[in-house]
Amino acid sequence: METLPQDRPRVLIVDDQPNWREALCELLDPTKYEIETAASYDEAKRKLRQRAFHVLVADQRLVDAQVNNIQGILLLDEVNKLRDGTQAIIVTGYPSIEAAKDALKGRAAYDYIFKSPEESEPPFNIQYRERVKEATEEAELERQKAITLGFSVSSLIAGLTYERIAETLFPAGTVSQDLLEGVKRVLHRLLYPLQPLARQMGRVWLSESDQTCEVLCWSRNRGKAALIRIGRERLSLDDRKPEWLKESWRSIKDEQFASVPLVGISYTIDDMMFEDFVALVKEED
Amino acid sequence: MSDRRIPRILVVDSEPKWSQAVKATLEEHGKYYVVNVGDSETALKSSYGDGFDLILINATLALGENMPKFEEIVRLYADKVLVISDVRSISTAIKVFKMGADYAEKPFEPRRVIDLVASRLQQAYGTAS
Repeated sequence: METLPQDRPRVLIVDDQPNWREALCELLDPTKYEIETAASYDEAKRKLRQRAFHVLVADQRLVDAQVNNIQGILLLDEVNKLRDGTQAIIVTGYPSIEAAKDALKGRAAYDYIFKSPEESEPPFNIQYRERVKEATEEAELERQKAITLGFSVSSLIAGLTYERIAETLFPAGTVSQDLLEGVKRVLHRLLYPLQPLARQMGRVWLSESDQTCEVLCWSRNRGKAALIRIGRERLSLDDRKPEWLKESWRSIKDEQFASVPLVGISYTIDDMMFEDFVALVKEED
Repeated sequence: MSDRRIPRILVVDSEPKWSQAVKATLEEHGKYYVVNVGDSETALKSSYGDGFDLILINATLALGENMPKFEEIVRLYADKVLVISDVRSISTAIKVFKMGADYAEKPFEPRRVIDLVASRLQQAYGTAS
């Protein structure tokens, strides 16, 4: 595991049939992709909510016994809602023009390919690998676009302005344009590797007395909760557990970023379940 | 839309007999105005100037060697482009959908084109005109 490159593009493969799930995985190079699988619509939906994937590969029919099942295509609604830039490829052994139209035109799938080798030209395995690769590149482009536009950071600190944060961190009347830019830069630098491309649920705490700002978000890049703390001095941030963080939750310091006179540290909270995160964010509302 | 003017349809097909029958049928009751062309290059030229409400284009012409012309038409007209295929082909349909156009099987009977056109325009404008 350790030898694999970090931050490989993530692919979620959804198929109810174990042999196909395995085959779809094995056709992709594990050194190039981080691959997760799901065996049902519900499992896939859960995984999509917790992590951002570059590519979703979904079998059209997710309950083999149901001839008209198109749950694989319905997963596209989830993908479109999350706006992670995920590109979806529908694969199927039972292609139909109506289903292809629904997927490609109705729900913006990236591609629709046949599993049956005799019907596809070029052969399925070649087409599949190529399309996953292209879809990954497309997803990466979407991400870069979102980052350039700065969507997610502003949505994460929704309701707060960079000014408001800066005024918490620095004595009244001392907030200059430079400091403001610093706050912005630190937040961006710490948040983007963790996540968030899309509109994202999160929570911001400002502490006037400690002169710190804390942002709790769900890192969709890592599939874990993450905490970012920024303040004027490292001492005020290190080794002090936020009040709301349960004793049992283990946080791991991830990376830090200093932009004098600001320090930012990000942590991942390794054992906070997604449900706990949602409850915590809601509770504060 | 019907208040504005009668819908304009561009038919791109290499079978003049079929196209003429379609034109005659669609124009019969003065409901539609139809322009027939026989290749996608001419189609592109016509489509620059005239605002069409619907473009019916034969799949072989659309996806053949003149495909870049077709792509340009789709870029201009997007959803108003309906590719008509002589034979039912999922691969052709997928190609067409991915480009952003729509797909239908070619009605053998020119009269049936009326239904096709009416339902397409209804989808696009919310009125059967």
